[in-house]
Amino acid sequence: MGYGLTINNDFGQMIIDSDISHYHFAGTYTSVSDVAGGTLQNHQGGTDNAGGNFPYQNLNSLGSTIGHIYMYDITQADVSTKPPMCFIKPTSTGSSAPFAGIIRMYFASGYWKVELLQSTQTTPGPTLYVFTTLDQLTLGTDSHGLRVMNEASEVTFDSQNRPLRIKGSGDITTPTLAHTGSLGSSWLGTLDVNCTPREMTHSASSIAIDKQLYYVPSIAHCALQYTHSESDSGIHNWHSYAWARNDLYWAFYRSAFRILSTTTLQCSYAIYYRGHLARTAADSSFVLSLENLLGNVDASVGSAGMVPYTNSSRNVGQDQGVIITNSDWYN
Amino acid sequence: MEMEGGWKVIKKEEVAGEYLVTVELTSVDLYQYTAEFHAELHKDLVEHTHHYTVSSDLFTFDHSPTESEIETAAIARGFNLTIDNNPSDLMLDETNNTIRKRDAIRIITPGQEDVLDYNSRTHPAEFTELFNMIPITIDSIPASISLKGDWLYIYYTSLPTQFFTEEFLLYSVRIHKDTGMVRRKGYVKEMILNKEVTDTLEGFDVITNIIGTGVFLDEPKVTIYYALEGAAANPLTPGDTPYYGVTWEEGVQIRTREYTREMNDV
Repeated sequence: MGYGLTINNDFGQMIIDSDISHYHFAGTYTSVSDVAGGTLQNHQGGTDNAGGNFPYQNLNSLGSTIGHIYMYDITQADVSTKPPMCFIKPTSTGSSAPFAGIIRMYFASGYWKVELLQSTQTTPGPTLYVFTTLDQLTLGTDSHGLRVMNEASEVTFDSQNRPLRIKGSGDITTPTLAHTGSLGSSWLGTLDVNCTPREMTHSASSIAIDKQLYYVPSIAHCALQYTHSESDSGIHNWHSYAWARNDLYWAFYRSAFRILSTTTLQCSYAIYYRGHLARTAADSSFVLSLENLLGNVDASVGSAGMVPYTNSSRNVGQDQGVIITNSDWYN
Repeated sequence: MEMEGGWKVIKKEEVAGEYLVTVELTSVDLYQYTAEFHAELHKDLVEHTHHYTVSSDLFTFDHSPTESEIETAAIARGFNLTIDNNPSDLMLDETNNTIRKRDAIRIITPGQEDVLDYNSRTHPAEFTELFNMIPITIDSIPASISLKGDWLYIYYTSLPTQFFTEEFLLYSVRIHKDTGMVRRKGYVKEMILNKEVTDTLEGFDVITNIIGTGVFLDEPKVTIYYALEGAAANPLTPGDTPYYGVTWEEGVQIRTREYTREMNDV
């Protein structure tokens, strides 16, 4: 290399390299809005029946607790090609804290829109500590410090702009399934997250627990579906009767995280989208089918990609990289 | 729809050494019917069901499970091949065939000898013997027959156009075994008399839990059927709990009959 600067630590790991656009602190962000996760609930069919023993139970049940989605608008010069890197400062820590993870980031209306899913609602929601490359930031004006440029004279590192300092890191793996055990009974689906969280220990224990920030990609891991179909016909109390009822519950899960202790990050799930479709009829002849249940329900279900899914795990066994840093360095 | 109870694997996936098995579980009621028997049950409004459930559930194993292990796990989670709805009018015989619990109805009238009403299917010999006593030509075979004194009572569950033009729930044709005289009564499964009429019926005010009305077409009589308080009874298929019929002639109560099952006659 005939120009530039490379600094490695004692382990030979690169710390600063002028050819790399390093991430620098771009500010903290609180949510601009928040909503519950998606829910589709629909019941089609009759609610009366000559037989008199029509099953009305749990028609309005949802079978699971939906997560809460917080939305953030990140301001940045280039909003189309260089997404920011967002660290989560959770609202609480420990074994009772909610799990949170960033599930979506996209450009719209002049912002990088960030959606953060948390297993339960808190007010306020988590705070994001945002980092980006220097070409998106205003450079510092101090006359001292270290500034590094690449071959094109673009500044790639500037100590005045508080570069991202990684204190701890590791890999974390999600549990195999979000919900273990029976998915339901009769007309009531039970798809709540009930798995045991998995853990990762890291080396950032010198950071106080309430100062730790974490960055972990959240990925869609799992979809669970429970179906129940029941039909009866015959004679009861002098009446000819017939009824059928079909129920379909489903839930989509995203991996989410929480800080358990100064050395431990936990991974579990939060429910991103859930649904319960029920069809009833004074007719015993129809049987459960996805087409039956989805037919004419809501076109947005399909377009949103939230159609029910066969029980399955996704991406299990794929470690997710974790980075830990310290909020005190950026306050 | 006839279905069989059972289970089947509809998806099996191995993820990081863990086996996720989605199983479809089907439960059906205990009672199965031939088409002929089923038609008869509907014709007679006999209580019965065609009940089934189909559920999908997820089971996890730390190894590839055998069929036996899947079945054991399903049973441990509460799966049963059968649903016992226990319809009151049916039972399984010693070979697990579905049969009606009884067919002969015992008719008890104070001061008179008890009478059995014979169904053509379950008591063909008795039925034929009584049927052959009918002194007039009968166009359609009745569902059952009984003999009370000099009168043969034949019952129909569908409209016997030889005798009736109006539809009822059940039809009774009383035929004198010597003269061939015919008297008719239709049954309605609810109370159809208004208060103006019932006020003229002696002792009517103590009757509760009314289940039907007997309409005489040829005589100034009426019968009110009632069950014990809280009990539901079907005049076509009396239950273990008897029901009663009180008959008035021109407002005067002339008899009360008790209808019950012939429990020893399965």
